[in-house]
Amino acid sequence: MSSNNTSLAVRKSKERTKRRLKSILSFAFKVALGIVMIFPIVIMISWSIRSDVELVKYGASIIPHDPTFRFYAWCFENLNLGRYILNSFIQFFIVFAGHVITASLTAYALVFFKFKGAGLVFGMVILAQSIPGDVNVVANYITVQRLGLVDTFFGLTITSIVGGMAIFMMRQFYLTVPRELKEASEIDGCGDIRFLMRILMPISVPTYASLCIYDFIGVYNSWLWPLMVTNDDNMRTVQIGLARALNGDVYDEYGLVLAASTVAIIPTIIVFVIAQEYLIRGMVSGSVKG
Amino acid sequence: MKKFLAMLLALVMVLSLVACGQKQPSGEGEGEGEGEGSAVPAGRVEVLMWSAAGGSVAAEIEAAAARFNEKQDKYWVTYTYQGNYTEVYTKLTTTINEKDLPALGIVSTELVGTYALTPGLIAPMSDYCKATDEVWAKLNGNLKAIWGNNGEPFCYPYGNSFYGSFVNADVFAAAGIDPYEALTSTKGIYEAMKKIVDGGYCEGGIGLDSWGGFVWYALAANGIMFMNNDNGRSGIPTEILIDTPEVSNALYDYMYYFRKMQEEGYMMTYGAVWGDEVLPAFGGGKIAVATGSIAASTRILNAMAEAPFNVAWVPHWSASDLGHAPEGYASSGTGFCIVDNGNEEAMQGAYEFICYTSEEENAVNLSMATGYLPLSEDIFLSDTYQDYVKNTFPAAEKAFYLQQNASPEAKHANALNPINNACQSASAELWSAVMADPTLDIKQAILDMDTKLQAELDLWLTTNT
Repeated sequence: MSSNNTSLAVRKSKERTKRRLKSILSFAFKVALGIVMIFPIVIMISWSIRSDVELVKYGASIIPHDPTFRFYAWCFENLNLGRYILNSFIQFFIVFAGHVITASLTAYALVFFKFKGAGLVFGMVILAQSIPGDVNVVANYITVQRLGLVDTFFGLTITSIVGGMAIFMMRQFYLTVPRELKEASEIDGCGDIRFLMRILMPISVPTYASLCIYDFIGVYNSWLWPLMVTNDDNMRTVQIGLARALNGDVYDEYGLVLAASTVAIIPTIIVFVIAQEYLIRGMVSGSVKG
Repeated sequence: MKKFLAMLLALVMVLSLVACGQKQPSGEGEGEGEGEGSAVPAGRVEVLMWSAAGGSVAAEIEAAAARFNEKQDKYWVTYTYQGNYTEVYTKLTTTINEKDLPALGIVSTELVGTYALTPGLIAPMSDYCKATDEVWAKLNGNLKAIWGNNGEPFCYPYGNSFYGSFVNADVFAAAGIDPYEALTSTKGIYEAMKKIVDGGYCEGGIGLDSWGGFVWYALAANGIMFMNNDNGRSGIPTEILIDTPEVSNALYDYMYYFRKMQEEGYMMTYGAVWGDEVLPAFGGGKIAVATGSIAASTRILNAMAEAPFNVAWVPHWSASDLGHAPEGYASSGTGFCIVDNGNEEAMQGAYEFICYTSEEENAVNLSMATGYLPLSEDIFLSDTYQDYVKNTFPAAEKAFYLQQNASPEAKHANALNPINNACQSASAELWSAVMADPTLDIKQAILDMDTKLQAELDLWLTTNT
């Protein structure tokens, strides 16, 4: 009996050790992966406060020996940063509001209305996503020009107000909503619009949060369209504005380019830190049934 | 922790927004930029400029615009950044409302041909001045070659950029080699690097900027034509001449000796990143030669600041040892063009601003901001520029005089070549293929490049003529 107890204890101890070892290895792997992922950002911030002379002398070390903030000073003195970031946020709010409205309505129709061709319509939405945006830029720009929307927020956002990805995300979420909820609301005399606005949209908040992050990252990083439809510096978005830190064919000091990039990336990091769980939730939405 | 971090970052962002606000207003005195989007005073004709320049170059152009706006009361130059040169071109060609088009653009030499061959886009400078007028006549011959069209003024440079090599003059002196004599052909480079490395004068030989345009510069330096429109000086090309013996043999020498250098250890591995690897190696004295545009002089000087040595700058070598073309070295760089936006007054203002930038004070400032050589000798000999030469970059003097007598017949690399981008991509591919595979048949690779570029040219001719 006691030998049985001893061998059981030994087995349990071995299992505990194995689990602990697995846990340590798993943690070490995640830490290593995290370091690899974050390393470019660390380098970017480190090099943004180092002159070219120091970079050549000390090479790729992370700790600056003689830090300088003159590149940041140049960015703040010579670039209209406050305005650029504000314009990017305005652009984002308009696009996000447009997506919430259009994607909610479209997804609702695709899920809750039974009509011929619903699958085809959804298929076309998905197919449209496979066409790179740059293909349409010239045609869209000509249209926007003809409408006199150059240098306006409407011109800046009109091509993004309806989004295939947004429709996809909302549709996937609505598919998880029990039919009984809709039936119960109909029994209570709730029409489609009231059901959408009073019941469906409030429970869609997590999906809206995921959509918000996708939209923010997409809009904030957009380059070609804002470049085409804006000429006035006061309408420029942050990526266009910060590109003015670059010298084109004339070589730049790394610090200037990286300081501008660091300033540009801060809002993205903030949004990601606050809402990363919604981002992950959005990525896996619809991947698990039931 | 996460919320704390988010709040901290949000605070940083709010503080930066509060700190930056609007751009600083123009100060007193000269040289301050007006800034993008400044309101046009009543009674002035707006000359809108679309530019691909940023950083210190943009600051200098804006400062010149501010001085121009102050100096006269008819025109008002407004500077707007519009992306890189290709994006500026895309936007120009798709902006259909003339009221949205600028009167002034900034163009690189790689795109002069594309601009010239886009109907109705550019108003040539010959509409405003003759080739004998001082503003054009004073330019160095190789600038006229690349910024002119059929010998007439077309666009206008704000500096004379050059491709070539930065050289550790101390190493060459110790090895008893004159870099200006030795580095004139690819074979000459090989022999010099072999002597320097095998003789222990330097750890490494040459580090390259792996840019696809060097092949064409090398051919231009030989005076060899690779397109049948006199390399872009007369009319539209119809044939790529790379498969002709003259061109293919020169290209063979070019690739053969560079591959040999890499195999024998006299060259940094092709594909080394110029800023991250070649520049620190040269600045640290580990290689004797680093290729680069003369505009890179500031970065070179920064790289060697801790342990300075004498630096020379040698113009681009010829592909083969047939020697340099008597017409001189091809030029490069960026400049201005007058956009045909239908507003005659604004276009006239654009021309007058271009003339203003060619005056001594502005031309010197632009040269120093870009690192390009000055447009002409009188600008080179100005007090301000001579100060810069003596105190900052003495090698600029020899570089300037080496190319000063280049003629308008110089076999430049870029103008009136409508498939410039394709040429550069093709030569970069040729480089990569030859360097990566020691068994690759160089002659066949060159012929393949000819076939590919001919197809590109045929496609362009089909869609544009």
